Amino acid sequence: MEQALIDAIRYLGAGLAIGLGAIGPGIGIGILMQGALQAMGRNPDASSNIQTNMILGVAFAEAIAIYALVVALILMFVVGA
Amino acid sequence: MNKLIKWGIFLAMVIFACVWITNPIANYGKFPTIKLPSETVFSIGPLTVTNTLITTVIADIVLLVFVFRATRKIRRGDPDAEVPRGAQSIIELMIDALYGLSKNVAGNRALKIFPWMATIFFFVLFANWTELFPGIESIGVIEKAHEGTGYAKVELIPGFLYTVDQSKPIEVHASEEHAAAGQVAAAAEVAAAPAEAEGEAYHVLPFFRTPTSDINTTLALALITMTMVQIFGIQALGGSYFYKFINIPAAKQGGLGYMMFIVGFLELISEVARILSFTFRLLGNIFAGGVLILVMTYIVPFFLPMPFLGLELFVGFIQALVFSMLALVFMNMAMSGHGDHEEAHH
Repeated sequence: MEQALIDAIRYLGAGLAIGLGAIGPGIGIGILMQGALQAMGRNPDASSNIQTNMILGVAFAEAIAIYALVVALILMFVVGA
Repeated sequence: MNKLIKWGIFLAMVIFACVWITNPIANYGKFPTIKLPSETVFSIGPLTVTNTLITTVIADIVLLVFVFRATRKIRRGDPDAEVPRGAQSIIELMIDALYGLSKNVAGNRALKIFPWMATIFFFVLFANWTELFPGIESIGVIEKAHEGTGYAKVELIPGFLYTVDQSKPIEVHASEEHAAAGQVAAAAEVAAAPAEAEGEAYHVLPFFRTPTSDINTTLALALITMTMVQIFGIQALGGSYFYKFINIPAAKQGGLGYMMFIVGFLELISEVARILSFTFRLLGNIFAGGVLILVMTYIVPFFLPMPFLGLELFVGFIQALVFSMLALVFMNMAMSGHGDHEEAHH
């Protein structure tokens, strides 16, 4: 019984970790893409330059979500599994 | 008649698909055990060889053979090499694009940084794409489960080929099976304890696993990259490189300089954070991709995993690009001096 309760809390924690952790990066990547697409629409010649910087920015924003994912994975597969 | 054959083939495919689909649906909710750390396949003295290490070596060999074969004509000085064809044109295209990128970012420092970022790109790319091959994380030796979840053993070819029945999980606690050593898929186990065969739990220890889904590989790459960032910085700026972290000249100026002095410490912290960020970005993406494909294959093993394989092809490429591009940007940032620092120094 106790083990089942611990497992349940573990799964809940993992779900919350990635669910809440994905909100911020989601918004961030959205804003980033909006800016990049607007810039590319206004100045199509600079597309390649904007694109490289955009991918860099997305990678930075995405890294935060990946931290949350790693916490979730550790909760699922490492702690007490 | 022709139509009849077509319908026959269609019917056979539907029946085949139904058998494949209904089997996992009957076992719905029974997902495979997923392991975060890599497993030791064998060890030579104190050196343990994990399954990710084996795959790393294979990916390296494949990459080297591919590149050496593609550039064979150039090294021979063959006049045919002027017009690239086949593999050579692919390699030239990629090298050209990467060099263009590094020239864009680093300018005249590109020649120094480019070999590092291109090497990282190609290694990470090939390492990531090993994920897509069948047999990765599924072919290996069968061994007794020491702890966690094991499965009942199924004989496909007695004494030679086994599999585990994932619909019959057996919980094993660490203390019970501690003495039992892992065994190569041999018949000895069955002969030894036929009475207990019902309750014995096994799991598959895979020979191959995607290198970048192991934290050791990504951490090693991150450490190498950040070490080279520091070395390039010192090479380019000499001792004044360290003023980036401990900004003594700024502190001497007073006023806003104290602020710059404190910012230097933040720079030091962010340097460590970059190692972690490099490590977990690659690990998280590739490990999560592997889990995604595995889970999709368990829900419906037919057709459904296909788009996800395509997605993982893309993710593997993007992550290789991001890793090498960040390495490029960090190296460039370390090598470009701050103008006012130079003046304060002299």
